Amino acid sequence: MSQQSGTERGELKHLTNPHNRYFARIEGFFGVLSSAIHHSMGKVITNFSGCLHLRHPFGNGGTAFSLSMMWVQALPFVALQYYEGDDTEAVMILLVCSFCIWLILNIVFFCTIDLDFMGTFFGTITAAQYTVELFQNATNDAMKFDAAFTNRISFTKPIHGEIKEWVRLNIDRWRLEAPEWFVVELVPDEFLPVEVYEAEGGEGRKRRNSVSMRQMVGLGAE
Amino acid sequence: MSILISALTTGYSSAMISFDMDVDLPHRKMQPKFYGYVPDDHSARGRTFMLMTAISATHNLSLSVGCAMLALTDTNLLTTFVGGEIAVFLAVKLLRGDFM
Repeated sequence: MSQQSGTERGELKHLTNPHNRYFARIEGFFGVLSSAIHHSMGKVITNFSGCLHLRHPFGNGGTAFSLSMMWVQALPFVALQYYEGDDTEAVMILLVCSFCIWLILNIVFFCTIDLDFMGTFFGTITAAQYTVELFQNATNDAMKFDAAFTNRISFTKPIHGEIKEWVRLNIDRWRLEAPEWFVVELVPDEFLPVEVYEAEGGEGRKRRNSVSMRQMVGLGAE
Repeated sequence: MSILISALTTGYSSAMISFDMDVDLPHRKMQPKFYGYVPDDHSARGRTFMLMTAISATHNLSLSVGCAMLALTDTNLLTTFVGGEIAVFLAVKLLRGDFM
């Protein structure tokens, strides 16, 4: 009996929440535009806040994030070379103190956290590679569905055949059991077996983008 | 004092976002290789959060001071440094096929 608890249902529902997605599932010109905005904003936020979450491969990536951290510490010293004010000595003392405090805090931080995740601070994996890895290392269908269909479809291009086969083998069961994470509208046409595609309405079938205005304004699921 | 409070506010917000994302159970279940660096022990969690806040605040303070000095010297210099870094970042993303 595969009855889910309320908590599990809540967790699975969480998976199809567009707020959890990094990228809007948009391709083409608007995809390029949204990526440019996404990466630029992410970079500015990283630079000014050092938000650790943005080391995610969908964000800056581990290495780029860590390099940003170091560059931000170096920039004031570079700026000081150009600065011609009367208070350069005082500023230098402030900068050295700030750098020393930052360094000590980082050492203590890395002594405190789980070092199994150290690699995430220096990883070079791309968003596409990470998505493929997520799909291939997933231990259940919810995780696979999340990796395959809530991110940009182009991320998983190298394994589209594998995803199609997995959908073909399981979609009848999902349609019957209707798990909460299974949102058939998120599955692009080319991933559906022909009979399912026809049953879902063929060319006129309902499709869903990752950007839902109803959910964005808090009106719940469509 | 005002600048210090602003930096601490930025640090607190940044730490809160990272902390919440990391300790969120669905995130840890779905992406176990990425989420989970915050220890499960209560006191270690509190210490990690305070460290994250302080790191972020000092980080913000450093860049703000740097940008202020560049802006006082020459605004074009500020644009070059800040814009140049973003441009390099985007170029590397493009070259690695990691842009979109």
